[in-house]
Amino acid sequence: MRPNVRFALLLPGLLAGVSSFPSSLSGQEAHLLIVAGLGGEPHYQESFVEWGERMVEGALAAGVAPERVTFLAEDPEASPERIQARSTREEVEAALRRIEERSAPDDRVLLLLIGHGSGSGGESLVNLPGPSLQATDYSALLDNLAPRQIAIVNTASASGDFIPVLAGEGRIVITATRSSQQRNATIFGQYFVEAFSTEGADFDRDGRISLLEAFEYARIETERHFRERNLLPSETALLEDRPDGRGISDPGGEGEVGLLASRFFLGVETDLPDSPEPGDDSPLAELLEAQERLEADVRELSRRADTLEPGEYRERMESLLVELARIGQEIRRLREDPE
Amino acid sequence: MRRPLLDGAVFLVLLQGLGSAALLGQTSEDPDALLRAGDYERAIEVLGPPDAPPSASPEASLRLADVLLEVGEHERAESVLRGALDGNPGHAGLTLLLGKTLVERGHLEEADRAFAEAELGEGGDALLAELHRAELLLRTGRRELALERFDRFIDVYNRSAGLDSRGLLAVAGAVRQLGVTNPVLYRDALRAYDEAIAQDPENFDAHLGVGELFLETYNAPDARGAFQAVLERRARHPRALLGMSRVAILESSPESAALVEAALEVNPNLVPALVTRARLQLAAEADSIAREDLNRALAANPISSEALAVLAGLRFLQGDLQGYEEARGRALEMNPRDSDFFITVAELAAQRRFYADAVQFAEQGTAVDSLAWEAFGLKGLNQLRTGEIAEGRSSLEVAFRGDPYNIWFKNTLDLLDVMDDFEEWGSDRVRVWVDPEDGEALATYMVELGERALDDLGALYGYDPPVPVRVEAFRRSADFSVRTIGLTGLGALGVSFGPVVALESPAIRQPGGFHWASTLWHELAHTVHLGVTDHRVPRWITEGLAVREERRAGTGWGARPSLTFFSAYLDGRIRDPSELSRSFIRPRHPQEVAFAYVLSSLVTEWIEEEWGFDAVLGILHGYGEGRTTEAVIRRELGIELPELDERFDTWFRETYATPLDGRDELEASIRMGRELLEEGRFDEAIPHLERARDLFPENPDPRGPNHLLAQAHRELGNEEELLGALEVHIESAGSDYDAHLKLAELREARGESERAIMALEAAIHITPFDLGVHRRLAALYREVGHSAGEVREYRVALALEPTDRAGALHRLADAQFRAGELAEARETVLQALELAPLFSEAQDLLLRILDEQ
Repeated sequence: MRPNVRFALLLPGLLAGVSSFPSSLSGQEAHLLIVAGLGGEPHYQESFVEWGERMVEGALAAGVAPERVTFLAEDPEASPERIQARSTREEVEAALRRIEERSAPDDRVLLLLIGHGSGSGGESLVNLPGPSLQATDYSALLDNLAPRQIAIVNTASASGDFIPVLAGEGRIVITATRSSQQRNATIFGQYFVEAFSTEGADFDRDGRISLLEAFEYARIETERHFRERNLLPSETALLEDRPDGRGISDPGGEGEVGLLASRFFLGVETDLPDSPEPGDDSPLAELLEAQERLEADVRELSRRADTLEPGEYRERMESLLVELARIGQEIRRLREDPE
Repeated sequence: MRRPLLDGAVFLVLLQGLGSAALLGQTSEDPDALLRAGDYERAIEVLGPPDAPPSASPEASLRLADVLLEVGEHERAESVLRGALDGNPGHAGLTLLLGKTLVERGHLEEADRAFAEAELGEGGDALLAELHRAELLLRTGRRELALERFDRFIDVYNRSAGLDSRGLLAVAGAVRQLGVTNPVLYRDALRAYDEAIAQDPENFDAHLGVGELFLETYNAPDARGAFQAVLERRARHPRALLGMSRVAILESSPESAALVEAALEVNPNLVPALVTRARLQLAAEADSIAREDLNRALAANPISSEALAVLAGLRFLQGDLQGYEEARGRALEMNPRDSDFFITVAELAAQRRFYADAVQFAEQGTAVDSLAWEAFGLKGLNQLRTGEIAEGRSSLEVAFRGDPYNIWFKNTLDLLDVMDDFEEWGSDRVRVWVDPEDGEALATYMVELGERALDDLGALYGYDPPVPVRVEAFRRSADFSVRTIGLTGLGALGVSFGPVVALESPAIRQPGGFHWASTLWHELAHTVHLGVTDHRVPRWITEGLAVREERRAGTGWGARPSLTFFSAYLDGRIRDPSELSRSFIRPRHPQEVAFAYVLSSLVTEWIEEEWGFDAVLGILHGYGEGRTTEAVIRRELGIELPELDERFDTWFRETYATPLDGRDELEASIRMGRELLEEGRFDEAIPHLERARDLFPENPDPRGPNHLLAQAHRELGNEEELLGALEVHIESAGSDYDAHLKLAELREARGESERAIMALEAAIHITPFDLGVHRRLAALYREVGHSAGEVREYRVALALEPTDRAGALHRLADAQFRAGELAEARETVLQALELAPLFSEAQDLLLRILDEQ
């Protein structure tokens, strides 16, 4: 099996990205709107509802307040406890208006589209009961939410053209397919929602799932889905979080694609390794500061791996990691028993 | 299978020709028309009745002799020509044809004198005589001199603008011979042939030359076109039919035998056709029939080097080394640099799986002739089969430089480039080479299984093959095929060359379409059989035993009789046991090979039941001593082949009496059960399916009654019955991947971890690429406290590129820690922390490992 080089490249870059941004995101609220369109067949109707339910559960578990989660689907009776209304154009518009009214400018909004897609370019759409919203319609609706940070995840078939239409400053766009030409029913959505309910997507083991991690998890599992069944892949997921609207399937390795997505989390996490408060000279604060410094050293050493002899690299890395482990253990001990 | 040789159009031409013959026979005595229609007998009567005095016209004699030569009446042809020469001394055309007749009879010195006389003439005949004299030099080992003579023809061509068709034929023939020194010259030869044909479309020798040239450059479609051009003009031309047969051989088409038969029907003394037929018989392991053809060939031409080479090869295959030396002496006496002799023997040796000997013979070919590219290539191909990879590549590179048209050499060299990226895994006894995409996930289990196979089979047969055994797995069917036969399109899944085994990777197919473990076991069984018999084991018994060993090795492994098999057996569509090898090599219908595997396994099962496994070993040792099937059966079983067939038939009908007698009821029960299932009437379906199961519990149909019963019980929620049905189902349909997974799930839910482990291990033997299976298995191993199993599974899971690599590394490190592999655990957990430095569980584990160390 090919060595998984991608992760080795992706994660340091991704976390380096995190460290270069202020960590104030954790104070913002996240809003989730899930829109499941027409299933067409019972099998898809059930799957779409199930994916939506799992996403709701994942979001709640991540700490999103229940009142900030909206799930619209073809048949609200399919899951009365979870689905608030039918996924018509009007209901989608109304839900987005409510988010606009109830959210602060520095909040985050995740719009998850599930269903069968069609059309192309600005007319790309996810089939909804009644008239559907096209990509350009979503773009206009989401413009109203500026300057909130917006993530649009279109897991439908033929979703690729959402990227050029919806990409923009402060926006993250994820699609299940590369273009409007990949029209087979997709599986990406199943793995995307699964990412929020499995620890397997927490690549850096920081206890939370970023949108980038969810994308990567879903992308890899989708590829595995086709490979294990010996099928030709009929979908290629893309991510774009820069304004240029190109989208790539491999966001860990090119430029800064994925940076914004790596900072986008659902909910507010409280048990993360914190940075010390300025002026705090308690033993815990000192340890946290040392931890932060050592973590940065690990990243730096990792970046310089190619410039060192393997033996020297390993020795220095081990030394840092052992020290970091001891500090981590001490931090956990102090947190459990501050006295 | 490649496209069939003769398409409908060609047969139409032949049939039209024959139809015309009958018609013309009634209405016309025109010899040209008779010949065109293939009525040689009547044409000869018209051209020169046996009792008629010699014709005064040299042209009439030439025509008659030419036709006589074509049908192999060499003696009469010689007599006609000599008679005509009496009246026309020095006639170039007559002496040329006399020379050719004498060559056919093996009288080379006389032939040379005749050609020398013809050479004194003018025009095309003189040039052809010069060509044939040079060819005689080549045939008698004087290559340099021959090449000099051939070389002169280039000047002849360049200087003479007005060569006639026969002159151009001579130039083409000479330049073709020069192709061995410079392959580009083949193109010039083709151009000269084309010009010869343009001047005279009836120049059959030019058409045949084109066909042979294309055969030499492995271009079957164009070769076919050239031979067809002759057959359109002369429907039963023996050399054209022989050419078509060779095209069929090149394309691995079964039509080759019928075509060579057709050629020999017209000319029973056509030595190359007799030799071709002998080789086809040898391929089918019908040695005694082959020998008859060789005797006929040598009667027609006692010094035929190609017949002597095949005879020598046959004697070698039969272990008659003295006989081999005698034939070798005769062949090389005439031409000590006859690399073709060694090439032929090497090919025959390789065909019978004597790969190491094939290397030796090919090497002798290269030693006597440094331009014998085919010998270099054969040496290389067989070195690869014996595991000498670097040496094989080197030989093939030499061969391909000299013969860049050779598709076998090219394919194999391309494959070796692909294999440069392969990963090597393994133990001291089993080395596995896999595509990097398959990597550790496949290699882990292949090595384990290979070790077990060598232990079990070695103990059973009392033979330990030389180690390490090399196992190669290919992710592309085409690559596997090239590794096996040098060409794409082979329909097999695995091959054993003895110490080297190759098979397809399970990644190629949907889970359930291919049981890699069973296939590997099968091939390793061949490795042992080849070793026990010193590579003299015939197909029928090694295939039969290999399938039997599969069935012994794993639940539901290996082919077994099905309802279709029973029908074929009863309808006589399966050959008797004594003729089984032919079914593998020359099947009469598409299913015959599959049936032959089953039948041969049943024959070996029956022998073991009736006479004990020692008799099986005795048969193998008998083959190893060079005995024939008749002899080993007589010695070990005390019966003759007809009795073998008869007694097996009795055993088979008794053993399978219930399903054979109850076939109608069985099929009706399955049909009814299936219909009721489709209607959702599960309760009602069960009794019918149970009846079908009871009539034939070992039904291997993956969608047969056992599977359907499981389906019914699943729908009804009858867990206990579902478990039972699945267990019975996999006993005969072990490739059903989903059934193993379901069994594992049910066993796990019932807390039966050990049995769940068995089910998942069985699933991995079908495909090892399902990450979820490895995680489940690792957890189960942890549950039962089997640390080594847990480590293995987490290691493989890691190789399958899990999304949470840091988590996967941590789980592996944890398992390694508990297995006491502290150094490995430390290394692994550090890798996890390098990816996720604040991963708290991994940090704790690292500190625990350090404490322990």
